[in-house]
Amino acid sequence: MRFFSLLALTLCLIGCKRPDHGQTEIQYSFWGSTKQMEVEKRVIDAFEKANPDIRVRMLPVGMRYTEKIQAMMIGNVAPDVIMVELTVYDEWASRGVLTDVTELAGTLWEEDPLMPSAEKIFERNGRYFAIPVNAHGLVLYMNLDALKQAGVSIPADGWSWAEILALGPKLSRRNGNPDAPTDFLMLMPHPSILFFACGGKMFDDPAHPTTVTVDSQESRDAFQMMRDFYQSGYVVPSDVSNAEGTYQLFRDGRIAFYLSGRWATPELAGQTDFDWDVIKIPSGPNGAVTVLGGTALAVWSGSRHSGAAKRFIEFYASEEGVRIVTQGGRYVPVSRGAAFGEEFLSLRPPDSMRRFSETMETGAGQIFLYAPGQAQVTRIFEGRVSQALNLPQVSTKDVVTGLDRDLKRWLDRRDRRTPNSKEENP
Amino acid sequence: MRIVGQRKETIAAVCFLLPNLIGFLLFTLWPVMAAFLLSFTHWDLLTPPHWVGLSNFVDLLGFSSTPEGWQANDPAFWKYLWNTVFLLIGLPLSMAGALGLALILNKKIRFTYAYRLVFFLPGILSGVAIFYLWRWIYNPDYGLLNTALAMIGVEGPAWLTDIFWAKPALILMGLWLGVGGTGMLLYLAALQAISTELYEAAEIDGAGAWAQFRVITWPGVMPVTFFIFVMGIIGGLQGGFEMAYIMTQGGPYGATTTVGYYIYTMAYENFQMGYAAAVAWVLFVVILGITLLNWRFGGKNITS
Repeated sequence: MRFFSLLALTLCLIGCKRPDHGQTEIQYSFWGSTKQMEVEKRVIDAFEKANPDIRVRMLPVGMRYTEKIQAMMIGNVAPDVIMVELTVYDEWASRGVLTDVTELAGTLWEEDPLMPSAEKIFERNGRYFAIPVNAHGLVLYMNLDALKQAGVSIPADGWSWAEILALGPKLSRRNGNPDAPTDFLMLMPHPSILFFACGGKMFDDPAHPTTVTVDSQESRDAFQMMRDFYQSGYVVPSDVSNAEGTYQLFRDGRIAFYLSGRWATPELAGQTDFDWDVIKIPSGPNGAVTVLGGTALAVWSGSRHSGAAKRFIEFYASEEGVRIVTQGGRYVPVSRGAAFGEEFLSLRPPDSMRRFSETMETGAGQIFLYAPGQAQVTRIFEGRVSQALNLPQVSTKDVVTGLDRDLKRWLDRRDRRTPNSKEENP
Repeated sequence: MRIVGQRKETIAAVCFLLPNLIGFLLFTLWPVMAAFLLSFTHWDLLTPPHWVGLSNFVDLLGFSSTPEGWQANDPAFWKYLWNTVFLLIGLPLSMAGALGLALILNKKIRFTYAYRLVFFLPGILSGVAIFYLWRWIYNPDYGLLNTALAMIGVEGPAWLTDIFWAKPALILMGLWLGVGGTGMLLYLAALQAISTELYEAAEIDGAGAWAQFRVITWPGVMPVTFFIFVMGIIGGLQGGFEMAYIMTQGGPYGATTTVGYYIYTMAYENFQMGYAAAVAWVLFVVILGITLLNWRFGGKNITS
């Protein structure tokens, strides 16, 4: 009996999903939490209302998004519209699995141009293989109550990383201050941010790398700064943050500062029993530099409904689509007009909404590589960061020399494996 | 009449064997052979593979002359191979523990069946659940282990993120899994197969507990010991993927990355399927070599 009930329910659900006659069904894959799923559903509902001939089937993917989508590509069953991670954007674009959407990009931002950072992330030699719908740098979330309780001045834009670290003894209960308001000062800042903030540079040209340029005093200073944070005892050990989550530590008042993007806001809004706000990312000797991130929508080159897929993306990136997703609280609009428009800036919290937009406007953000291999280079870098943090007896000079050797080996192997790799960048 | 009967038997045998044979051919032999061919190619999964000859093997196993001396073309592989071998330290320890536990549970004590069930539980629990459980046990802030250590005035380390402690932590967890699992069950079966008359005769002759163990028990469980050892080495060399994937992501500084995890990262994170296939085949040859050595020397001792 239970079997037949289950069978009936399954058949019913399959029946419910079947598109009406004349309708085109496209599949759309994305990652994110259940809250993000609600936002995506709202966009899809609005799109289907405006385009009754197209039905969009959601394919939310939890962990290991890239690997799953790639497996679907190999099996020739990938979704028509794919939310693309920046780490694989170049990889996929260079291998021809994403459709060139330069024409669509041209019409979308004709009147309201793209923010410099968004353009930097997704534009390759004047071409687009995905339409950016969200671009972000990082900002520093601050627990204002903790700062007041510790009697320290509230950090402002332009503060340096060293100044933030110096607040550790007053804000963190670690290292013998039981009266401090929080357990830790913050999570370990992203090593790549400290690397860029100190002026480190991996390659001669991040878009067309031919020479490794990492062996420099700036790189050594960056690794020293990472060590200063790690050895201070004021940053959260990684196994604590792995087990307890990152924004959860800030939400629960266990850290005073939290370096994150706009996407953390919905998780914190109304969830904390303290006041919080954001400032721009602190600076190093090379200025305030953030890593860049973003979300883009691409049409899979094997899609049989590329026209409908493009229409969906066009709607998603339109004024109406942008309004829905930014109200979801996770996205920063990619065009200047929308990012600095009243509608976005009036959203609350935080009070300093403008910081999200300003971070993207300065264009000071960076990533290691605007070419295929980004994920591998990042892993090589993280390996050396792990060495620097876990083996204090190894000098920063040796760490950087090792990184230089690793990157040269990677570059050499890439050139040997793909003889035209220097022109591989789409 | 007899021929018809034989034919029927043959058809029945084929029918019974066929499902397994098809499964083996499709899902084992074919992928293994495909991996062998792939190891001579460069394949990024999204574009067709192209033939590179022995290049993957040279990159993997070769050494190059540099201003600092000879260096491995892929130092990471040697490091991860060493990690894999190092983690095998847990094998003899868990075997000794399993034998000890089996000896205790083989005694006529109350609630023997309940104890057997409890000790066998780790063997039937889901690996993922166990790894999450141990991640909590090893949490430096509020984990069970460090809380217990704090009660006796010892400040426990960050087990999984400390480069010195990460491997011992995994070995310790492996012991918990290995002592009470299948090894214990096999030893228990072997112990129960030893005739009690032998022990009675030894006792009459005045043999003590140690002498009885040395002369009767140990030879009696030798074949099982050999079996567990060989299977443990094969499993150990192939293993470590789930642990690394869930508990440490291979860190800190690659201290818990095993060859199995390396194959995965090369294939699915670095998009180098051909290279990953080459690593897999090298691992296969290593396992085959060690197993043959085991059979050649260990197996010979047992039969003699």
